[in-house]
Amino acid sequence: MPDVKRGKHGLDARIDRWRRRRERISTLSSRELDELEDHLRARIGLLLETDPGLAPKRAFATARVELGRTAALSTEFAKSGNPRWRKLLLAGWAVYAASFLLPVSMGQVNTALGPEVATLWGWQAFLGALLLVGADPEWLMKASAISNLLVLATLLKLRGKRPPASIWLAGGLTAAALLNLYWGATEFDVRVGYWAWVASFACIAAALWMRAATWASAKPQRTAQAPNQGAFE
Amino acid sequence: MKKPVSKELVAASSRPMVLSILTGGESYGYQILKQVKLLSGGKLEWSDGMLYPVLHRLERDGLVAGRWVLTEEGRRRKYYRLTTRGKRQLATDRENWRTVHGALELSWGGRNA
Repeated sequence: MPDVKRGKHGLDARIDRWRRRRERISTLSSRELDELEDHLRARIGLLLETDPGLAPKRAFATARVELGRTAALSTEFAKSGNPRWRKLLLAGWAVYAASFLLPVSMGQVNTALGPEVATLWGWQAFLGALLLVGADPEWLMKASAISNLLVLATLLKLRGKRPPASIWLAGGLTAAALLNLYWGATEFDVRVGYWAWVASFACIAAALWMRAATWASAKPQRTAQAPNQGAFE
Repeated sequence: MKKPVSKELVAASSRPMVLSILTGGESYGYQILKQVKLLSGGKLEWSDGMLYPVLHRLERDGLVAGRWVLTEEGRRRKYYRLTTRGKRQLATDRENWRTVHGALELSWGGRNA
């Protein structure tokens, strides 16, 4: 394909711009764009091979139109997405919500008769952490508040198009899960709600890591020869 | 000019079509699309990009398995192959399409007689 070689630099630049624009405006992941880019290049190659007089610019335009509208592609890819990380995320949020209704520890609760040591329920601990009331010790309540905010942030972040922020969130949640696990095991008299709360962090963090992994560009196997092309060749 | 096959019919036949093509061996998106055009004589109009969500759905359902390969030109390319589950699904789809086809043939045969 002499034309492809001659115009390779220009063609590569066009394809690169096409890809970068889709990375900005669409919800297509790097892996999905890898596949579409391969298709685009294969189609351009065939168009130039069958019509040697065709300008690479024209071949690119034809192949791009044939590929379809980006918005429609994004919608269809979203429908067919890998649901494993999503299931794990939903499970994490469900466990997180359930931990509000479970006893988390024995703690100081204000009653009409004054402060008493009683069962501290998840929702009480949550409010205490967010409002920094009944803090004992205060640094732990602050750490707990930050942990809760990380989980709540995942609700907002996942509405965004690109996931890099999810990697930071995943890291933060993993650290929070490990620290809370350590404190629960060594420092406090905790109940089942606390462990559910910690487990929800691990679940949500794992889901975000999985999401980031499926989003990134593929790491292909090096192959000396192409696999069997099919019986219809 | 003959009207193209309806989008609904194209969508309904996409799974058995892709699974059938993959019985011939491992293949990738563009190659599969070329085979669809070849097999249908160009009558099945698949929008190029729409094949990939179909392949991803089949992969999600365990009917095909994908693997990334670095081509000789240094490009990343995803190859798909039929799984055992995919073979079972194809056998079921084939049976169902034959039933539909057979019933329609009988019905049209009766009307034409």
